[in-house]
Amino acid sequence: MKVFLSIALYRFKSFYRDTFTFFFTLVLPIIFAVIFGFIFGRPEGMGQSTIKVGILKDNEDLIKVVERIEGLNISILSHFDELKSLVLKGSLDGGILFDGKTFNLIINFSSFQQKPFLRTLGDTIANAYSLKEAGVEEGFIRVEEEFIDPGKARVSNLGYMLPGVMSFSIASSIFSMIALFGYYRKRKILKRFAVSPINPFSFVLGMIMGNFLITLLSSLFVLFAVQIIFNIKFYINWEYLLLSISSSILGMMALGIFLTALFKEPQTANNVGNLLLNIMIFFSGIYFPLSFLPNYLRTFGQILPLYYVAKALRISVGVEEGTPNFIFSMSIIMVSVFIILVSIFGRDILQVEEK
Amino acid sequence: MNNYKFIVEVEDLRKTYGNVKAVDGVNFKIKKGSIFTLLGPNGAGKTTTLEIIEGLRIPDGGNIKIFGKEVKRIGKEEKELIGVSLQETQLISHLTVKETLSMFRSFYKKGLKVDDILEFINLKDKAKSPVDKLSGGQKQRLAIGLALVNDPELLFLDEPTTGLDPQARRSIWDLLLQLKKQGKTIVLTTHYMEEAEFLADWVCIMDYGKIIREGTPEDLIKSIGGESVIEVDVEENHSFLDRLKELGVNYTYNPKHGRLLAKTDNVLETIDSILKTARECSLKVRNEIIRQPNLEDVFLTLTGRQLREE
Ligand SMILES: Nc1ncnc2c1ncn2[C@@H]1O[C@H](COP(=O)(O)OP(=O)(O)OP(=O)(O)O)[C@@H](O)[C@H]1O
Ligand SMILES: [Mg+2]
Repeated sequence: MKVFLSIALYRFKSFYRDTFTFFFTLVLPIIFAVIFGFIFGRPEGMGQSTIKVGILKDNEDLIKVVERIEGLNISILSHFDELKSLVLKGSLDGGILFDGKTFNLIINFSSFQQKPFLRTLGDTIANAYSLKEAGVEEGFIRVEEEFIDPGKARVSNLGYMLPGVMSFSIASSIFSMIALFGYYRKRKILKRFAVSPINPFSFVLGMIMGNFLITLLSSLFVLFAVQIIFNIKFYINWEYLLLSISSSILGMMALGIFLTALFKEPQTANNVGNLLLNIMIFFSGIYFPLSFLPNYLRTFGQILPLYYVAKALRISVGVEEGTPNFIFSMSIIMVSVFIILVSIFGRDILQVEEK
Repeated sequence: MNNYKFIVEVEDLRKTYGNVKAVDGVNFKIKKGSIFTLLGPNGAGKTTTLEIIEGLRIPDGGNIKIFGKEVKRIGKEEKELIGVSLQETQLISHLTVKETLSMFRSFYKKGLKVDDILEFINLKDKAKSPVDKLSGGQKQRLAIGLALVNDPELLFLDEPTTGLDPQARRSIWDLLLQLKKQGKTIVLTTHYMEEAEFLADWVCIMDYGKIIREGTPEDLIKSIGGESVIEVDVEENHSFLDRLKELGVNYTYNPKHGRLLAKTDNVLETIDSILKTARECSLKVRNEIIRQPNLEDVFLTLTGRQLREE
């Protein structure tokens, strides 16, 4: 136990002093969040959206709902023809029609190229509208019978994406394990530990604990930072959030251990990890809402673990609908894979003989 | 079980990598409280031998007895009692000297106070420096400090002075002598013959995985005969060298450095022969040195090569 704690402590220290890690787990996610802020608009009071939509004036209910969607500039028109011509001319980016049953979105495709936001607009409105139909006046998303803090929450692409930037912090676990199982061996750091009487599991688990804590704290820090920067308040379910982050960290560590075992050369494992991470981030709804993607690509995203991480995070902070079961299942899978891999590869970590 | 004269005994130790016999049937016994030295050139098998005993590598064959106990590979119990400084010590970056010592100290049941170690290795003023910022000599002193955290009876130091300047080397020698005074047994590897000569109670000369000669430095030097060695720089010239042989001069010639070494009991006569012969062959002789024979000469005599091929 003493050894475990001591290793965890010193790993923690060496980790937070490492500028690269610091950048990757704390600064980079926040930079991304700020970039998203520029691309996807932001809550009121922080600049104007340039997306203009038209709505016919007899859709009063719809107008009320859409008004609450941040980042939209609404023009109310009396005739469909008028709406259509304005969209075609490009004075409006799109128009929303509602006949009481179905939504119709007319979009100017040149605007569509520039403003991917429009693409999700349909979903967003449908979401908001269906809640209104259900009698929820102010809120727009339900999380397990609990409603998000009314008034503060907004139907927002930005709000949907921001929790995802925590995934950057969490994904750093992949590389911390490549460092531990790969570079530490290669650079003969492990050798020095191997001549001491420590138990390999105390060593591995201590190292992992150190990494785990720093990653957990970084993710939470990132979450608080984006809330402050964008003046957003998420409705956070702490149990879900901590469970999601913790199990995701372990899951990403498992991926790192797996990559190190697969590619004997740590540099290769690192490169593959980077590539994989970029692919995963692209398809997990962190850079842009998943509804931008065609269906088959969305399905592809669902085979990648980061999709589930990002989704669990969004559910936990109340920007996506989801069930506790989703979070529990994901946690169980991630933690199990982690335990299996650590027990396989942890035992031999201090067997440093080079072949 | 605690009653043993030799703290380490190895018998017929073997380790092969591909077709390289890194350790090829090594035997030795290490007396408690002594400084035991493996002296040999690069690739002789010193590190491999040490790391087998330290439990880092598994031998292909042979027996190891440590602290009077026969072991296949040392375990936790023995690791508590030994201190190791590897040939190349790599540490976790971003930790300070003191933190690194404290961390390793926490791995052992008993040991020294970290501040005392810092004092001993003379790194007190560097206690808060990150380990990556130390100079070569400071890093080696830290490596020795790490080997001392558990106040071990037996120390394995793999080339603790390689690459250091004479002053830094000297300061490490001082540390080792102090440790010996404290009654510790030190197993040292080196390819500096001065180091072995200065520190060692017992020297094993190692080459190509074998111990080719062992003894106290004095005995080893005596064993090659000759009271003095004459060294001169002279161009390679076969008739010159042939004639020296005819005159009965006992020499070796290193064509790479253009240096001739002659062992002799009669300095004046030998120097006369060399100079006269050189003149006859119209060769210039420079940088003449007359000195006592040393371990380098022992190695040269045994192998025809020099310990360090610079
Ligand atoms: N892991 C390994 N894989 C392959 N060959 C090895 C390995 N370790 C050592 N060898 C070979 O075994 C021989 C002995 O190496 P060793 O490192 O023990 O020598 P050494 O005496 O310590 O040399 P140096 O003075 O350079 O440290 C060398 O020929 C080396 O190339
Ligand atoms: Mg060596």
